[in-house]
Amino acid sequence: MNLDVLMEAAEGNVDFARELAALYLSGIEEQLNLLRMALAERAMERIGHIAHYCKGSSVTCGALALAELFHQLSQLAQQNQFDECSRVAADVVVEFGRVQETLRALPQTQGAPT
Amino acid sequence: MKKVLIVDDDPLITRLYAWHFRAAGFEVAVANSGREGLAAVSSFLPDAVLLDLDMPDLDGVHWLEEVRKDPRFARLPITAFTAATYGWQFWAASNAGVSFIFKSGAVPREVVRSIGAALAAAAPPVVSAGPSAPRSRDTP
Repeated sequence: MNLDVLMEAAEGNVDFARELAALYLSGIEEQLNLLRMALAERAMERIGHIAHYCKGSSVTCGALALAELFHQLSQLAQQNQFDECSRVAADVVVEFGRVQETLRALPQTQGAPT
Repeated sequence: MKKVLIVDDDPLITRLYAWHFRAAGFEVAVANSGREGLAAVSSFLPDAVLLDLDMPDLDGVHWLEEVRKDPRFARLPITAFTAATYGWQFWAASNAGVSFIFKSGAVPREVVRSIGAALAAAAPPVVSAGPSAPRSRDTP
């Protein structure tokens, strides 16, 4: 997790960075639920779309290891490699846990909210 | 005030860019899908568009083709961004009339700056007739 990427996107504004982090985490959580369903149904095209969508958000927020896993997942889905998709999806869940932990630990600002 | 339309189905991206464009003095409208974006481009009449090429309901290349059919938007600056790494999408977007393409993860400030610069370059020069006189735009 490269917090510098997120802070640069937020122009160093910690409140805005926290808002972006919250949007990112809730968005990925939602997509991971959809990914579980797509895996259960072996819906390879949907798996690919979800992975692709999540990759873009992850790059934007500096979750680069997670973005790389989503990239792999997207490629594997295109190649119709279901077993490998399941393996990488499990890695995604573990890495997302790390990202959640890091982003939820972002400091609070001392000033009044704007 | 210049107007920009952001077309993306990812709330993170729309919020991020809306914040940056507003900070840079733009009036901003957001469309959360390709179809919503097609309606918004006609109603909002933006000076520039920021477009995600990877939307589920209407992909960015088709979106570009639709918008470019309208003579009002034949020269509208449209900047696209994508998480894709495949060259065909860049090629297809270029053929469909995209003005600029950025990869996901581009620094938002730089994206906004380049769109602002493109609009400034396209605008007719502002001519000042003196400190107390009203400013007028030179006609091309």
